[in-house]
Amino acid sequence: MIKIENLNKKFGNQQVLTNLNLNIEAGKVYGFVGANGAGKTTLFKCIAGFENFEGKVEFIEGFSKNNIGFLPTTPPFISKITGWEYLKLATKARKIERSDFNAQNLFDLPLDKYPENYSTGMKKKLALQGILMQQNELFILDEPFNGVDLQSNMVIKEIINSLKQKGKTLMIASHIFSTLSELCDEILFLKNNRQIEKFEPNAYDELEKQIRSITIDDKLKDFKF
Amino acid sequence: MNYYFQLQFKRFQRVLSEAGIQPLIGVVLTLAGYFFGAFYIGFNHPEGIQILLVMGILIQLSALQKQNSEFLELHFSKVITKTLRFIELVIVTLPPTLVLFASGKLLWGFGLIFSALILIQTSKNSLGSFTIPTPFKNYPFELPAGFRVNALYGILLYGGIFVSFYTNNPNLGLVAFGLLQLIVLSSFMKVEDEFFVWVYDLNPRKFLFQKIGYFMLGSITLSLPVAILLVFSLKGLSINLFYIYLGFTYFFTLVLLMKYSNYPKELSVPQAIIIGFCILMPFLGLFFIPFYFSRATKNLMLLLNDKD
Repeated sequence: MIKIENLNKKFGNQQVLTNLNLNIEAGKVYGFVGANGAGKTTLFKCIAGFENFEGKVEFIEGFSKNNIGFLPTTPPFISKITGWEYLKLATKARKIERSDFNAQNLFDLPLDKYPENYSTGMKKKLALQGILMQQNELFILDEPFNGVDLQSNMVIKEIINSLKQKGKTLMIASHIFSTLSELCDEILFLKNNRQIEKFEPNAYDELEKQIRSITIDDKLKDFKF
Repeated sequence: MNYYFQLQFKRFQRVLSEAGIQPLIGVVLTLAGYFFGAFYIGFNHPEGIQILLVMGILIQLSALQKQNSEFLELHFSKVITKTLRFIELVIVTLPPTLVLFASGKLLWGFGLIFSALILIQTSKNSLGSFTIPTPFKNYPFELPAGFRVNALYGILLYGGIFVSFYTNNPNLGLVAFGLLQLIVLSSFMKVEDEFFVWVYDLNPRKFLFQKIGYFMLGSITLSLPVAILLVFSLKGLSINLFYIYLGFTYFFTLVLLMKYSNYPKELSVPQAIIIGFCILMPFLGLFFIPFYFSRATKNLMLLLNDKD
């Protein structure tokens, strides 16, 4: 379980997260929605330990930084290392000795090539395979469906369902509401007024209405193109 | 087109500013140093002309890989993109080109301009997609990536070492051996994305020791065969090789600790000055190595916060 208490995060004078309180229970799948800049990525980075913040993020019951699998929106890669070597690095960093990357090549990626030459979707799939092979307990997936092809989208959904069945915890940010509503036990809506609201499956329709009313306004009418 | 070059100039000034250098002073010093260096090599070194040509081509190759060709191709026509890339390559090699012309080596000077013309025809993919085999595929990124990036220089240095063996020239062998250490060291100096620090299940102390260990592994693996060759072929070299190896391990440790004490920012100018003093007066390391070790461990606590 993760207990977040009074989390505040500022970038300069810009307040991104304000007094955020949240409990993430083990074995559940959480969706995160909100407009661009609402603070989803920042929240994920604070939980994973990439950013300093005010407040408290407490890991309870076997969670620690070292069993978090973090998939950023744009996964970083290092020039001139192959896909195989990336997976070796990802596992070895977590003290897991594996070399079965070709046999366990979930997305049929060209692991002998440099990821810098992969497509956007292939890069994301490689990064996802890396965190799956680390055998983590908590998965933080920031826009996992962006840029991947239709089949891979379906595979990722299957992976999320399998992880859920294995009792893993997932936090997923996505702009594809239909997918989130299909996969998640709860969806958290980060609003631009820095508040967070929790929705359970029986309230997903209402959440969708709220998102529509906030995102679709009159700006397009005045935009010249 | 003008705006593109103005932006490049602004970017250069920002890089200087982030490194803690006043942009105007930095620009003047960089240009003066570059021109003076090229003139000095061209007019004072016996093989100055050849060195300038090789240096110019290496700078063009480096500039070609760094520039964002995809961005240019997205916004400009093919002709304008190639023109921009050509002008850029000519600008970055202006000092060596001017020296070549000034010393009457017109053919060599035009050769450098011609190489820019050839290089802009190559795409990033054709230069970089071939996977170079490496003995370090099971090790973290610095060793395999550094091996591939520097493969060409490594081959040249191995060549230099063999030449020293056949010509019985110990100095050439020692210089080549030292440069080999420098190549391994350079592989560790690029500031990696925070993800590649955060991902480690290590505390900051173990993380830093592991980096030093990997440097020693890479350095020994690449230099042991040539060290053996040099020791058995050119008498009296073993102690010199040992000192060079020890010196580079000391230098690497200092630079690595400074890098992570400033991470994720690049090394600052004051730090570079301290490195200079520590090379001139190695005993200063007795103070600066523990000092930067302490700062680096504190700085890495956010990303590697486990207390194992």
